[in-house]
Amino acid sequence: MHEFSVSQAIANLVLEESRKREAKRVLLVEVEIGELSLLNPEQVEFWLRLAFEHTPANEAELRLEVVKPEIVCERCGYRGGLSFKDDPVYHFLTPAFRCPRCDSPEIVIRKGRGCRVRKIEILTGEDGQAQAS
Amino acid sequence: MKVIRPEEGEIFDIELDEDLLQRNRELAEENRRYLNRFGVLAVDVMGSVGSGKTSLIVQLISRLQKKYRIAALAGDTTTTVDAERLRSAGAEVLQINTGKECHLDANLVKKALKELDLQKLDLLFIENVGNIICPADFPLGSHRRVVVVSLTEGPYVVLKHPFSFLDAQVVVINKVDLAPALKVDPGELEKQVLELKPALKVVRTNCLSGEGTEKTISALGL
Repeated sequence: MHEFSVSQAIANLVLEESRKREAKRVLLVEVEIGELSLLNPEQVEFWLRLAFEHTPANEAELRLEVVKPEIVCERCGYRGGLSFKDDPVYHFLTPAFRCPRCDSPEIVIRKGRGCRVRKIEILTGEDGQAQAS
Repeated sequence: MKVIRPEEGEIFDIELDEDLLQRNRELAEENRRYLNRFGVLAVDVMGSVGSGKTSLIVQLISRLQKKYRIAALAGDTTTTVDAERLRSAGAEVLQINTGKECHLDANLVKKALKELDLQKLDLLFIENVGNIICPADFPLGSHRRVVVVSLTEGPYVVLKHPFSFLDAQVVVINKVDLAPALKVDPGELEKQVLELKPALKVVRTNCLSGEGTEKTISALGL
Protein backbone atom coordinates (compact mmCIF):
# COMPACT_ATOMS: atom_id res chain seq x y z
CA MET A 1 0.00 0.00 0.00
CA HIS A 2 2.94 2.30 0.50
CA GLU A 3 4.25 1.74 -3.02
CA PHE A 4 3.46 5.36 -3.78
CA SER A 5 5.69 6.85 -1.09
CA VAL A 6 8.50 4.36 -1.68
CA SER A 7 8.37 4.98 -5.43
CA GLN A 8 8.48 8.69 -4.81
CA ALA A 9 11.58 8.22 -2.69
CA ILE A 10 13.16 6.10 -5.44
CA ALA A 11 12.33 8.75 -8.04
CA ASN A 12 13.75 11.54 -5.88
CA LEU A 13 16.95 9.61 -5.36
CA VAL A 14 17.36 8.87 -9.07
CA LEU A 15 16.52 12.39 -10.23
CA GLU A 16 18.72 14.05 -7.64
CA GLU A 17 21.64 11.86 -8.65
CA SER A 18 21.09 12.55 -12.33
CA ARG A 19 20.87 16.30 -11.66
CA LYS A 20 24.08 16.23 -9.67
CA ARG A 21 25.83 14.56 -12.56
CA GLU A 22 24.21 16.79 -15.15
CA ALA A 23 22.67 13.86 -16.93
CA LYS A 24 20.74 14.52 -20.09
CA ARG A 25 18.82 11.35 -19.76
CA VAL A 26 18.50 8.47 -17.40
CA LEU A 27 18.71 5.26 -19.41
CA LEU A 28 18.26 2.62 -16.79
CA VAL A 29 17.06 2.31 -13.21
CA GLU A 30 17.71 -0.95 -11.44
CA VAL A 31 15.66 -1.66 -8.33
CA GLU A 32 15.73 -4.68 -6.09
CA ILE A 33 12.61 -5.53 -4.08
CA GLY A 34 12.77 -8.03 -1.25
CA GLU A 35 10.20 -10.79 -1.39
CA LEU A 36 9.46 -10.29 2.30
CA SER A 37 8.76 -6.59 1.87
CA LEU A 38 5.16 -5.60 1.40
CA LEU A 39 5.80 -3.91 -1.91
CA ASN A 40 4.19 -5.03 -5.11
CA PRO A 41 6.70 -4.60 -7.98
CA GLU A 42 4.01 -3.89 -10.55
CA GLN A 43 2.67 -1.03 -8.47
CA VAL A 44 6.16 0.33 -7.88
CA GLU A 45 6.72 0.32 -11.64
CA PHE A 46 3.43 2.09 -12.24
CA TRP A 47 4.23 4.90 -9.79
CA LEU A 48 7.80 5.22 -11.01
CA ARG A 49 6.61 5.70 -14.58
CA LEU A 50 4.32 8.44 -13.36
CA ALA A 51 6.97 10.09 -11.22
CA PHE A 52 9.42 10.11 -14.13
CA GLU A 53 7.04 11.84 -16.54
CA HIS A 54 8.47 15.12 -17.86
CA THR A 55 11.85 14.34 -16.34
CA PRO A 56 15.12 13.11 -17.88
CA ALA A 57 14.13 9.64 -16.70
CA ASN A 58 10.99 9.66 -18.81
CA GLU A 59 12.16 6.89 -21.09
CA ALA A 60 14.39 5.03 -18.69
CA GLU A 61 14.28 1.29 -18.69
CA LEU A 62 13.02 0.10 -15.33
CA ARG A 63 14.51 -3.15 -14.17
CA LEU A 64 12.75 -4.38 -11.06
CA GLU A 65 14.01 -7.58 -9.57
CA VAL A 66 12.38 -9.49 -6.74
CA VAL A 67 15.01 -10.83 -4.37
CA LYS A 68 14.52 -14.09 -2.50
CA PRO A 69 14.90 -14.01 1.25
CA GLU A 70 18.08 -15.22 2.86
CA ILE A 71 18.30 -16.25 6.48
CA VAL A 72 20.93 -17.34 8.96
CA CYS A 73 20.03 -19.81 11.68
CA GLU A 74 21.49 -18.89 15.03
CA ARG A 75 21.32 -22.46 16.24
CA CYS A 76 22.72 -24.62 13.46
CA GLY A 77 24.37 -22.01 11.28
CA TYR A 78 22.24 -22.72 8.23
CA ARG A 79 22.52 -19.99 5.66
CA GLY A 80 20.12 -19.86 2.76
CA GLY A 81 16.53 -19.55 1.73
CA LEU A 82 13.38 -19.64 3.75
CA SER A 83 10.94 -22.48 3.34
CA PHE A 84 7.45 -21.76 2.14
CA LYS A 85 4.41 -23.91 2.62
CA ASP A 86 2.44 -24.21 -0.59
CA ASP A 87 -1.10 -24.67 0.54
CA PRO A 88 -3.38 -25.05 -2.46
CA VAL A 89 -6.37 -23.97 -0.37
CA TYR A 90 -5.03 -20.45 -0.07
CA HIS A 91 -3.24 -20.13 -3.42
CA PHE A 92 -0.41 -18.55 -1.58
CA LEU A 93 3.01 -19.60 -0.38
CA THR A 94 2.95 -19.23 3.38
CA PRO A 95 6.39 -18.59 4.78
CA ALA A 96 7.55 -20.34 7.92
CA PHE A 97 9.85 -18.12 9.91
CA ARG A 98 12.07 -20.91 11.15
CA CYS A 99 15.17 -22.75 10.03
CA PRO A 100 14.40 -25.19 7.21
CA ARG A 101 17.21 -27.46 8.43
CA CYS A 102 16.81 -27.68 12.21
CA ASP A 103 13.40 -26.04 12.66
CA SER A 104 14.77 -23.48 15.10
CA PRO A 105 12.75 -20.25 15.32
CA GLU A 106 15.92 -18.31 16.10
CA ILE A 107 16.68 -17.03 12.67
CA VAL A 108 17.99 -13.73 11.41
CA ILE A 109 16.70 -12.46 8.11
CA ARG A 110 19.64 -11.18 6.15
CA LYS A 111 18.03 -10.45 2.83
CA GLY A 112 14.62 -10.02 1.33
CA ARG A 113 13.12 -7.19 3.35
CA GLY A 114 14.61 -4.26 1.52
CA CYS A 115 13.93 -2.06 -1.44
CA ARG A 116 17.22 -1.09 -2.96
CA VAL A 117 18.08 1.18 -5.85
CA ARG A 118 20.98 -0.82 -7.13
CA LYS A 119 22.25 1.40 -9.91
CA ILE A 120 21.29 3.84 -12.59
CA GLU A 121 22.71 4.46 -16.01
CA ILE A 122 22.81 8.00 -17.29
CA LEU A 123 23.68 9.74 -20.51
CA THR A 124 25.69 12.87 -20.05
CA GLY A 125 26.09 15.90 -22.34
CA GLU A 126 28.11 15.71 -25.57
CA ASP A 127 31.16 17.06 -23.85
CA GLY A 128 30.83 14.30 -21.29
CA GLN A 129 31.67 16.47 -18.31
CA ALA A 130 30.19 14.16 -15.75
CA GLN A 131 32.46 11.89 -13.82
CA ALA A 132 31.84 8.27 -13.14
CA SER A 133 31.71 7.38 -9.48
CA MET B 1 11.63 9.48 -34.82
CA LYS B 2 15.12 10.60 -34.06
CA VAL B 3 16.95 8.05 -32.00
CA ILE B 4 19.79 9.24 -29.86
CA ARG B 5 22.60 6.78 -29.61
CA PRO B 6 25.25 7.67 -27.12
CA GLU B 7 28.91 7.42 -27.97
CA GLU B 8 31.16 5.26 -25.88
CA GLY B 9 32.29 7.03 -22.76
CA GLU B 10 29.20 9.10 -22.44
CA ILE B 11 27.20 6.58 -20.53
CA PHE B 12 27.85 6.27 -16.87
CA ASP B 13 26.88 3.44 -14.65
CA ILE B 14 26.26 4.78 -11.20
CA GLU B 15 26.14 2.29 -8.38
CA LEU B 16 23.77 3.80 -5.86
CA ASP B 17 23.14 0.76 -3.72
CA GLU B 18 20.71 2.71 -1.62
CA ASP B 19 18.09 0.78 0.31
CA LEU B 20 15.07 2.95 1.00
CA LEU B 21 13.56 0.68 3.62
CA GLN B 22 16.97 0.23 5.20
CA ARG B 23 17.13 3.98 5.72
CA ASN B 24 14.01 3.72 7.85
CA ARG B 25 15.53 0.82 9.76
CA GLU B 26 18.62 2.86 10.54
CA LEU B 27 16.48 5.72 11.80
CA ALA B 28 14.58 3.21 13.92
CA GLU B 29 17.86 2.07 15.48
CA GLU B 30 18.65 5.71 16.20
CA ASN B 31 15.29 6.09 17.94
CA ARG B 32 15.97 3.01 20.05
CA ARG B 33 19.36 4.31 21.13
CA TYR B 34 17.79 7.66 21.97
CA LEU B 35 15.10 5.98 24.09
CA ASN B 36 17.73 3.82 25.79
CA ARG B 37 19.66 6.88 26.78
CA PHE B 38 16.68 7.96 28.89
CA GLY B 39 15.80 4.47 30.02
CA VAL B 40 12.42 4.60 28.29
CA LEU B 41 10.91 1.35 27.07
CA ALA B 42 8.80 1.67 23.92
CA VAL B 43 6.04 -0.69 22.82
CA ASP B 44 4.43 -0.24 19.44
CA VAL B 45 1.05 -1.62 18.57
CA MET B 46 -0.06 -2.45 15.06
CA GLY B 47 -3.27 -3.99 13.76
CA SER B 48 -6.20 -3.43 11.44
CA VAL B 49 -8.68 -0.60 11.75
CA GLY B 50 -11.07 -1.51 14.55
CA SER B 51 -9.00 -4.41 15.89
CA GLY B 52 -8.78 -2.81 19.33
CA LYS B 53 -5.36 -1.17 19.45
CA THR B 54 -6.57 1.88 21.33
CA SER B 55 -8.72 -0.19 23.70
CA LEU B 56 -5.73 -2.41 24.46
CA ILE B 57 -3.48 0.56 25.19
CA VAL B 58 -6.19 2.17 27.34
CA GLN B 59 -6.37 -1.04 29.40
CA LEU B 60 -2.59 -1.22 29.68
CA ILE B 61 -2.27 2.42 30.71
CA SER B 62 -4.93 2.18 33.39
CA ARG B 63 -3.24 -0.84 34.95
CA LEU B 64 0.33 0.35 34.61
CA GLN B 65 0.09 4.02 35.45
CA LYS B 66 0.81 3.51 39.13
CA LYS B 67 3.97 1.61 38.30
CA TYR B 68 5.31 3.66 35.39
CA ARG B 69 5.28 7.17 34.05
CA ILE B 70 3.59 6.62 30.69
CA ALA B 71 3.18 8.54 27.44
CA ALA B 72 1.66 7.49 24.15
CA LEU B 73 2.05 8.43 20.53
CA ALA B 74 -1.20 8.06 18.64
CA GLY B 75 -0.72 7.55 14.93
CA ASP B 76 -3.68 8.21 12.71
CA THR B 77 -4.35 9.53 9.26
CA THR B 78 -6.46 12.45 10.38
CA THR B 79 -8.43 12.60 13.62
CA THR B 80 -7.43 12.91 17.27
CA VAL B 81 -10.16 10.52 18.47
CA ASP B 82 -7.73 7.87 19.66
CA ALA B 83 -5.44 10.41 21.26
CA GLU B 84 -8.34 11.73 23.33
CA ARG B 85 -9.20 8.24 24.52
CA LEU B 86 -5.61 7.55 25.52
CA ARG B 87 -5.35 10.88 27.28
CA SER B 88 -8.45 10.23 29.34
CA ALA B 89 -6.89 6.92 30.39
CA GLY B 90 -4.22 8.99 32.08
CA ALA B 91 -1.21 9.24 29.80
CA GLU B 92 0.52 12.15 28.19
CA VAL B 93 -0.40 11.82 24.51
CA LEU B 94 1.08 13.18 21.35
CA GLN B 95 -0.86 12.88 18.14
CA ILE B 96 0.92 12.02 14.90
CA ASN B 97 -1.25 12.62 11.88
CA THR B 98 0.18 11.04 8.77
CA GLY B 99 -2.27 12.70 6.39
CA LYS B 100 -2.70 10.09 3.73
CA GLU B 101 0.15 7.82 4.62
CA CYS B 102 -0.81 4.31 5.65
CA HIS B 103 1.79 3.77 8.37
CA LEU B 104 4.01 5.52 10.88
CA ASP B 105 7.67 5.60 10.03
CA ALA B 106 10.81 6.02 12.08
CA ASN B 107 11.24 9.61 10.98
CA LEU B 108 7.81 10.68 12.26
CA VAL B 109 8.48 8.92 15.54
CA LYS B 110 11.86 10.61 15.78
CA LYS B 111 10.18 13.99 15.44
CA ALA B 112 7.61 13.07 18.06
CA LEU B 113 10.29 11.87 20.50
CA LYS B 114 11.90 15.29 20.38
CA GLU B 115 8.63 16.77 21.64
CA LEU B 116 8.48 14.54 24.70
CA ASP B 117 10.33 15.05 27.94
CA LEU B 118 11.81 11.56 28.04
CA GLN B 119 13.49 12.19 31.37
CA LYS B 120 10.06 12.15 32.95
CA LEU B 121 9.00 8.88 31.32
CA ASP B 122 9.45 5.14 31.83
CA LEU B 123 7.15 3.68 29.24
CA LEU B 124 5.99 4.80 25.80
CA PHE B 125 3.20 3.26 23.77
CA ILE B 126 3.18 3.91 20.06
CA GLU B 127 -0.10 3.23 18.34
CA ASN B 128 0.32 2.75 14.63
CA VAL B 129 -2.13 3.74 11.92
CA GLY B 130 -4.89 1.13 11.61
CA ASN B 131 -3.39 -1.17 9.03
CA ILE B 132 -2.08 -4.68 9.36
CA ILE B 133 0.01 -4.57 6.20
CA CYS B 134 2.20 -1.53 5.69
CA PRO B 135 3.53 -0.90 9.20
CA ALA B 136 5.35 -4.24 8.95
CA ASP B 137 7.83 -2.66 6.54
CA PHE B 138 8.59 0.20 8.90
CA PRO B 139 10.14 -0.58 12.27
CA LEU B 140 9.93 2.48 14.52
CA GLY B 141 12.64 1.83 17.06
CA SER B 142 10.44 0.36 19.76
CA HIS B 143 11.65 -2.43 22.04
CA ARG B 144 8.55 -4.57 21.62
CA ARG B 145 6.02 -4.88 18.88
CA VAL B 146 2.48 -6.07 19.54
CA VAL B 147 0.22 -7.14 16.70
CA VAL B 148 -3.48 -7.01 17.51
CA VAL B 149 -5.83 -9.22 15.54
CA SER B 150 -9.49 -9.56 16.40
CA LEU B 151 -12.06 -12.21 15.72
CA THR B 152 -14.11 -9.77 13.65
CA GLU B 153 -11.34 -9.88 11.05
CA GLY B 154 -12.29 -13.46 10.33
CA PRO B 155 -10.50 -16.80 10.52
CA TYR B 156 -7.90 -16.03 7.85
CA VAL B 157 -6.42 -12.81 9.17
CA VAL B 158 -3.19 -14.49 10.29
CA LEU B 159 -2.76 -16.67 7.20
CA LYS B 160 -3.30 -13.71 4.92
CA HIS B 161 -0.75 -11.47 6.60
CA PRO B 162 2.24 -13.61 7.56
CA PHE B 163 4.75 -10.79 7.09
CA SER B 164 3.01 -8.62 9.64
CA PHE B 165 4.27 -10.84 12.44
CA LEU B 166 7.95 -10.73 11.47
CA ASP B 167 9.07 -8.15 14.02
CA ALA B 168 6.46 -8.87 16.67
CA GLN B 169 7.07 -10.45 20.07
CA VAL B 170 3.48 -10.49 21.26
CA VAL B 171 0.25 -11.20 19.42
CA VAL B 172 -3.04 -10.21 20.99
CA ILE B 173 -6.16 -12.00 19.82
CA ASN B 174 -8.91 -9.59 20.75
CA LYS B 175 -12.70 -9.77 21.03
CA VAL B 176 -12.66 -13.38 22.21
CA ASP B 177 -16.09 -12.78 23.78
CA LEU B 178 -17.52 -12.66 20.25
CA ALA B 179 -16.31 -16.14 19.32
CA PRO B 180 -19.71 -17.84 19.60
CA ALA B 181 -21.45 -15.18 17.50
CA LEU B 182 -18.74 -14.99 14.84
CA LYS B 183 -17.92 -18.68 14.77
CA VAL B 184 -14.23 -17.89 14.61
CA ASP B 185 -12.06 -20.06 16.81
CA PRO B 186 -9.38 -18.09 18.69
CA GLY B 187 -7.52 -21.37 19.28
CA GLU B 188 -7.19 -21.83 15.53
CA LEU B 189 -5.79 -18.30 15.12
CA GLU B 190 -3.33 -18.96 17.93
CA LYS B 191 -2.20 -22.16 16.24
CA GLN B 192 -1.60 -20.32 12.99
CA VAL B 193 0.42 -17.62 14.72
CA LEU B 194 2.65 -20.18 16.44
CA GLU B 195 3.04 -22.17 13.26
CA LEU B 196 4.35 -19.03 11.61
CA LYS B 197 6.69 -17.97 14.38
CA PRO B 198 6.94 -20.26 17.41
CA ALA B 199 8.73 -17.64 19.52
CA LEU B 200 5.67 -15.38 19.63
CA LYS B 201 3.69 -14.96 22.82
CA VAL B 202 -0.04 -15.12 22.18
CA VAL B 203 -2.62 -13.62 24.50
CA ARG B 204 -6.42 -13.77 24.15
CA THR B 205 -8.21 -10.63 25.26
CA ASN B 206 -11.43 -8.75 25.50
CA CYS B 207 -10.13 -5.21 25.62
CA LEU B 208 -13.51 -3.77 26.56
CA SER B 209 -13.85 -5.78 29.75
CA GLY B 210 -10.12 -5.95 30.44
CA GLU B 211 -9.90 -9.72 30.21
CA GLY B 212 -6.37 -10.76 29.28
CA THR B 213 -4.75 -7.42 30.12
CA GLU B 214 -2.65 -8.85 32.94
CA LYS B 215 -1.46 -11.62 30.67
CA THR B 216 -0.55 -9.07 28.02
CA ILE B 217 1.45 -7.15 30.61
CA SER B 218 3.44 -10.22 31.57
CA ALA B 219 3.91 -11.23 27.91
CA LEU B 220 5.44 -7.79 27.38
CA GLY B 221 7.64 -8.28 30.43
CA LEU B 222 6.30 -5.11 32.08
